Amino acid sequence: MSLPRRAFLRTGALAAGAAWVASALPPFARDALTALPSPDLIVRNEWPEHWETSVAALGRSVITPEDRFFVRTHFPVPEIDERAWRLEVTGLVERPHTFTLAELRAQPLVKRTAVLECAGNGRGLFPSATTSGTQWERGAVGNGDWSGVALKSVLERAGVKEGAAHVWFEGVDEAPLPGPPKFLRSIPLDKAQDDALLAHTMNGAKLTRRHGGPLRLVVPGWYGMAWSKWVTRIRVEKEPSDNHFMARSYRYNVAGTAPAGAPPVETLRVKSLITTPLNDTQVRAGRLVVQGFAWAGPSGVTRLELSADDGQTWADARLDGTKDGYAWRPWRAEIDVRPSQQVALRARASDGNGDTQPEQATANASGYANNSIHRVVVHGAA
Amino acid sequence: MAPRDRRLLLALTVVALLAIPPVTALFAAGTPKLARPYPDKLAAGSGQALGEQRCVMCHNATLITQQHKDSAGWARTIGTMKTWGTPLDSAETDTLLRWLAATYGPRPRANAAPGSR
Repeated sequence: MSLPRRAFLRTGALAAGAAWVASALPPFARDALTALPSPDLIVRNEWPEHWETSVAALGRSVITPEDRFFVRTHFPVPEIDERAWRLEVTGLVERPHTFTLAELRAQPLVKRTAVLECAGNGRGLFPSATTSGTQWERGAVGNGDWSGVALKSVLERAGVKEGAAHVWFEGVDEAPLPGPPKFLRSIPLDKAQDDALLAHTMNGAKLTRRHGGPLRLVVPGWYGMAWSKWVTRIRVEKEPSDNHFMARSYRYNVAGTAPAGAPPVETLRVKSLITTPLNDTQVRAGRLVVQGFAWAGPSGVTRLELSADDGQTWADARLDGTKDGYAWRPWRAEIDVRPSQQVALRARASDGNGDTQPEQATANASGYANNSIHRVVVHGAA
Repeated sequence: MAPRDRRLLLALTVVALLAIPPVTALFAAGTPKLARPYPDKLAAGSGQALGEQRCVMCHNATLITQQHKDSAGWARTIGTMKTWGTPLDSAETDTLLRWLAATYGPRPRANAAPGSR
């Protein structure tokens, strides 16, 4: 069979066009586009990847599956050759040491179930729409099973010197242009030696590159900016890091003031979600199960109250799990819905410090840590 | 063209289209219905070309189109981006700032993205 010359030319042109389109995209953009996320994710930005989990998807399981866990990167997800990959521990240590991935994976496995929440989760729900950055709503949060090596044991291997007070972390991710600073964070030595983890496993499987594999830091009870991804360098120091993302970003400054003097964003603020029923849905008249999750920083969640009359009266919901640890706590309540009734539900959690979710969180210039009460309206079927 | 040749051409066309990564990904992922709440194209105007050339080299357009800030807010953003190496002279900075503030200025919150509330 022979193909007409024109058809050959057209096919050739098409193939060349396709190849050109593919080659014209930068590699990181191609990466992001060729690994389209789960339909349970809301794509707030394609590259760098800023993908948010839908509330419906969060409600399907206590542990958030990897493929619907929110993704937030500052720079493109880096290419990593695991055979050449090393973790260097230097600074104020007696014995600077370099670990291979195999060495770390051979160490006793430590597991922590913990909530990972982006500091900007809820930014898009502050009444003022003037904050910079991705306008996250409710789903830049998830509850994961993280396993790996206790950071404490890695530091013990290197021997922390007297006077050390902070641990700095550097990943291999970089901006496409040479100008932007590296994303570099530090945490206090006390926290590093308490319960921080260098995780190589997420939800029982190898940590994917998108979520910081082969090795990411897990800082239970702290917002996500502290959970450094793709970590290859640890440095023990006297002072906290002065990197841009420590000194000028992730600060609770109000508009018009310098971020450097403002308190840093660190531990999670108490918060909860109503995952069932979903907002603006019709429900059957009769008994209705209302459920969701609540989480907090180190003091843990101690109480969850539900209002079925838009905040006029509140009743305790059943709270499962424990206040110790950093997993989120499932909660459940039942209410009665009359035919054609519109019901405004509100959930509010309290923590061990005595803090309770506010009706409306105080705004800050960068829209961090919005833990305002979640309100869901449902309509009883006629 | 003979029907058999037409079928072959169609097959080759499909193969050629599948060579484009986004198209491949769409098929591989079973054409998921992804929620994409913001326009991925910058709005027409005096700063559109600059935005496409100088901003969308590091992130795609939705990082801009989802934000709604006043002139001071956009000026801070442009200032940071210039510090970080985005090439913009003063005339270009002025054009970009005026266009951003006019096109993506403060406004009441739009409806939430599907699933987010």
